[in-house]
Amino acid sequence: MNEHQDPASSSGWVDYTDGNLPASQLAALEAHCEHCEACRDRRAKLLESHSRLIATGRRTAGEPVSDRSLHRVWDAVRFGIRRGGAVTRSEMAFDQLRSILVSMLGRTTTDKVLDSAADGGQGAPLFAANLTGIVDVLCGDKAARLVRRVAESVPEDLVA
Amino acid sequence: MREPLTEPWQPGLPDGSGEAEPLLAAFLAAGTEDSFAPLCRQLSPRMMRYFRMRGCDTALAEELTQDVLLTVFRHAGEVRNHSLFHGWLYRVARNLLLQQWRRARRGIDTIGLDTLGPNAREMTVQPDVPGRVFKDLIAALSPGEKEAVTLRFVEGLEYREIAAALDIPVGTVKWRVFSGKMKLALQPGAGEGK
Ligand SMILES: [Zn+2]
Repeated sequence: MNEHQDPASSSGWVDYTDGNLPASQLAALEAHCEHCEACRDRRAKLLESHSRLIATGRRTAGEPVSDRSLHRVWDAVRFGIRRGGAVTRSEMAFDQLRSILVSMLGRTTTDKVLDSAADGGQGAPLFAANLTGIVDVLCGDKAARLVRRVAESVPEDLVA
Repeated sequence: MREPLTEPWQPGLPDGSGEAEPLLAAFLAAGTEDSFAPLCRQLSPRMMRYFRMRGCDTALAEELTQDVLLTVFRHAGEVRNHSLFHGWLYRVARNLLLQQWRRARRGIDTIGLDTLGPNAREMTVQPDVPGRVFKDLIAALSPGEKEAVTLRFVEGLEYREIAAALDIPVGTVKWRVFSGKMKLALQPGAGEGK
């Protein structure tokens, strides 16, 4: 039976399981383990946990993230860069709405339409309904449906 | 007899999509939206995973990811040591997450459980939580150990990067990883093959 004296600090053991322990320390640690059962046991435990963490960690890191999510993120980031400020997706919805309307109605009419849809300060639900009604009259129901979908995601504080 | 070492862990990107540093350097040199796109493409999945694993639903994870990326766009130039970029990146992500948790906790009396932030959501049973297997594996670890081993084995960060992300000394990071591994070995199921 040999006297046990820790052959490595916690940091040394971590480097050992990572395969990063300097050669001289590695040799000393392994020589110690030859005759110390406690350290052999500890080494086996650490290596086993290490393997499980690597395997499970890799699997987790490989879990896919949906392309739609990544596209939404990039759209929002690009929008934020162009605007020069941090924006939430709901703010982006308002800009998106506006550019849809501009493409159909032109800038001047869009501003008038947005103003009258927001008139009365009733918040987002009424705004979406008002706007859909106006677009329906001006551009037909297909355009109105599109506008409604986008308008409903615009939060109240942006409408007021 | 000498036990074979496990496969050395290569920190970096576990999903194999390459290093961020060259993309960061290219962006910092040009500073344009176009030069930011490749960096953004590379960081987005990692950030989404980071937030999803910590209890955020998809919409919230997207919003926080976009906030992190906008912060990168504006402030990455202030990170003097580029090799610590990931540490800085995860610190930004962590701070945003903590802010979100605080907001959720403040609103706890007025909003429903389904609209609460990550803390509350974690308490409900979710069948498809991202990283569930990993979270189950490390369930018995302390919060500090969990964070350290997750940043190490899922995000693939180096110890000094984890130290920067959590704002603690490298020695503490290594101690947490060490004691986390020892605890794992004492769990039922340990030692039953890999
Ligand atoms: Zn010993």
